[in-house]
Amino acid sequence: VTTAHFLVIRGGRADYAIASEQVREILSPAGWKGPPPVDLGAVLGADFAKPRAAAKLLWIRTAEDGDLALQVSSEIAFCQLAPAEVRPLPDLVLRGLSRPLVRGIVFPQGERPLLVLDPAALHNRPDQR
Amino acid sequence: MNRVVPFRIDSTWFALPALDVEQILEFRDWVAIPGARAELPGVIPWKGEAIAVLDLAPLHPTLSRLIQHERPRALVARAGHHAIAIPAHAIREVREVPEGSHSTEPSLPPHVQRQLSLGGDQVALLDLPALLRRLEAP
Repeated sequence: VTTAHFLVIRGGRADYAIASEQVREILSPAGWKGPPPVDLGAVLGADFAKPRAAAKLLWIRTAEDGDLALQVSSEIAFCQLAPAEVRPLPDLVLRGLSRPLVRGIVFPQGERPLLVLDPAALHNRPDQR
Repeated sequence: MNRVVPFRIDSTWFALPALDVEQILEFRDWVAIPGARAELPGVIPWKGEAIAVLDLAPLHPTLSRLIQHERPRALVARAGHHAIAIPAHAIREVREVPEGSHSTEPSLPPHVQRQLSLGGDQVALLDLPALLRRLEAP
C-alpha cells in the first residue's frame, strides 16, 4: 500500500483525519438511530470553539467496539497520505494516555498540521462510561 | 567551569547545561494534542519528527501556562533518546558558571540541580535527565 485515504475534518490550528475505511457513512443528525453521538468538538476542545458548518454525523466502524457516531460541525474533505508521512507522537506525550486519541501527526509543507485520529479511543472515554 | 544556557519564562530564569541544548528555534505554532498532560501539551516538527513541547508552568506554579504565540523562542534539548522543545520568553547567550554538585536544599524541586546567580538574576539550573524521568512517570 503506497497511500491511504483519509477523511479530513477542518479545525482551527490543525486539521483532523480519520481513515476513510473506518467511516461507514456521513449522514445528518436526524438520520441517526443509534446511541448518542460523540461531539468531536467537545472532545477536541478549543480548536473547535465555534461551529463552521452544519452539523453532520460520521458513522464510524471500529473493529473492537462496534459502531460509533461522531458529530462534527466543520467542513469535511478528503486526502491521501503515504504511511511514512504520518509521524508517531513522542513517547513522552503518549505516556499517561491510556488509549491515545491521536495515532500520529502529519506536518504538510506550508499547510496546517494534520492529526490522525483513532476513533476507537472515543469508545472508552471517561465521559462515555 | 560549566557552560549553561539561561532562559526566561515570565520573569523566572532557568538554565540548561549547554551540552543538553541541541538548537534554539524561533517558536511559532505548536500543535495541541487532545488529552495530553499539562506538562507536555503538544508537539512541534523538528528534523522530520514530532517532538514534545514542555511547559514548565505545571512544575513551577508561579509561571503562566503556555498559550499559542506567546513565547517567541524555544530551546530544543536532548537527554537520552528524548528530544523536547522548551518555549521561553527570552534566551541568553551561553554563560560559564563554576562547577557544582546537585543541591541538597530541600526547597528545590528534584529536577533543579542548584540555584545560580547570573548577572544579578537568580537562575534555576535544570537537571534535564531528572526532569525527563519525572515526566516519564505515569
